[in-house]
Amino acid sequence: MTAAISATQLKPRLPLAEWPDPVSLEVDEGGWVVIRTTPARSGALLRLCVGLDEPAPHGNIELLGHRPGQLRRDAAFHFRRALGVALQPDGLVSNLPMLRNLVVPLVYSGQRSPDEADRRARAVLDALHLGDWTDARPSELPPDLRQVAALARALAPEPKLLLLEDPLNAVRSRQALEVLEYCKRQVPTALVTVFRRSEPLYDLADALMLWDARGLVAATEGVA
Amino acid sequence: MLLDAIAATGQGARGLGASSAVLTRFAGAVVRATWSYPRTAYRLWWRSVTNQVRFTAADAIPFVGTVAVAVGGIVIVEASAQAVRFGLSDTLGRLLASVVVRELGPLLTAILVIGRSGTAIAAELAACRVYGETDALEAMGVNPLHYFVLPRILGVGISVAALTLLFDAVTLSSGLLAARLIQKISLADYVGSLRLAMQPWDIVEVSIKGMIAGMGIAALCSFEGLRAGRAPTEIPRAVTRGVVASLLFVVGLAGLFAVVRYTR
Repeated sequence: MTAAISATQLKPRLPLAEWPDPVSLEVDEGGWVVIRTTPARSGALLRLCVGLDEPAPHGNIELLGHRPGQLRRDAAFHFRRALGVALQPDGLVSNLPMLRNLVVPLVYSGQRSPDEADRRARAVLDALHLGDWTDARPSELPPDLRQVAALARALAPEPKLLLLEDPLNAVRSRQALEVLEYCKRQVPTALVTVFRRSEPLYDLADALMLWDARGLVAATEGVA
Repeated sequence: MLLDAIAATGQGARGLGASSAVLTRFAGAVVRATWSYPRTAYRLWWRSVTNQVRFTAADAIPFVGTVAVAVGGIVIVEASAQAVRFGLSDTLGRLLASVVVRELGPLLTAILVIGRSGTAIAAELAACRVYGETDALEAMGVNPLHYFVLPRILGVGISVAALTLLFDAVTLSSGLLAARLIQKISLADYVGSLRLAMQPWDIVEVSIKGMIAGMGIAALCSFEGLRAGRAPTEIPRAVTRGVVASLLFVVGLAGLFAVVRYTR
């Protein structure tokens, strides 16, 4: 089985108090790995995965065969088209209605024409029961639906790999499980971080890890 | 005390140098982004440009028009009073053409646009940074320069060029009214002196100047907005930096055009 994410001795170049020691991590293709950790560690790890932070980190990280921190700017944008990302804060564009929040990334990343993007965005929003909110701005959505909308935007480009930061913590368990099952059917490979217990995610995870002061270790549901 | 002053000057110069380097890199990235614009986004891009023109130009017409009427009245009454007093009525047109049409119009219009649209651009983009909107788009493979910056640069450029022409037209018209009512200068004298002093090229020059000023304002305010940090307190700081940089730019541009015109 090939690794979708492979990190060895990884540590941010700029010192982070909560990440004093390097960590290693592997996410195989076709697996959902859930890490319970703190917001600071989670944010730093996912930003390194996407290659949003400069300078490049210590150690090595590869996603889908690319080293995100070492790509040139245009190559980095091209590489990220294979990712579905939902970070904290969700970053939904506040002056765009929900439909266009999904359309704009599809069109501006060069993946689809506006008409195709419109069709795809409507299909994803309908699948996640957000079809009635296409014209609403993000601030008009209740917090739980806003989190689902951020997931919808991550799913719209049909990514090969999902990177999700504490998704659906405001969503009721049953609805969260339904949404996450849909996500897993659409994208079988994911790295998900959570800041507190999340039963639906623990149920779906192929591997569960705990990252605290002692380091990043495999965990069972009872421990995490 | 002297050493402190020298140290502060040195630090200031270093900061200026660092900012200039970052700004130069930003300008290079904007130029590269223009060539790599995704074909799929042309339609949405055009919509963004027209939205920007509507906000910066169309919505600002009453504001700019009001200022232009006031400026026209004040400048022309003052200028014509002095011209009549010193027996220089025939030079009134030349004075108006050079001061109002070529210099004051473009400069004041640019300043009004900085106050109204430049601040909005810097604040909006800084807020996008603070609330993770630019990061989210970047994480999905969208170059923020394509979505946030390029449409604004073109939209504000077109807007300032159009508003400058409007400003000049309204200023000259209100000046005519003021000159007629207060100084009793005849319509024929007023128009005649203007026709002698102005060339068709003036309109082209003023439009080009407005276009460059607008593009510079949008680029500088976008730059400062996108450079903001993650804290909400960064938003007003980004706006201040954007306004100061834009004001320096438009004043410098006016000086450059004046030097080129009078030395050629």
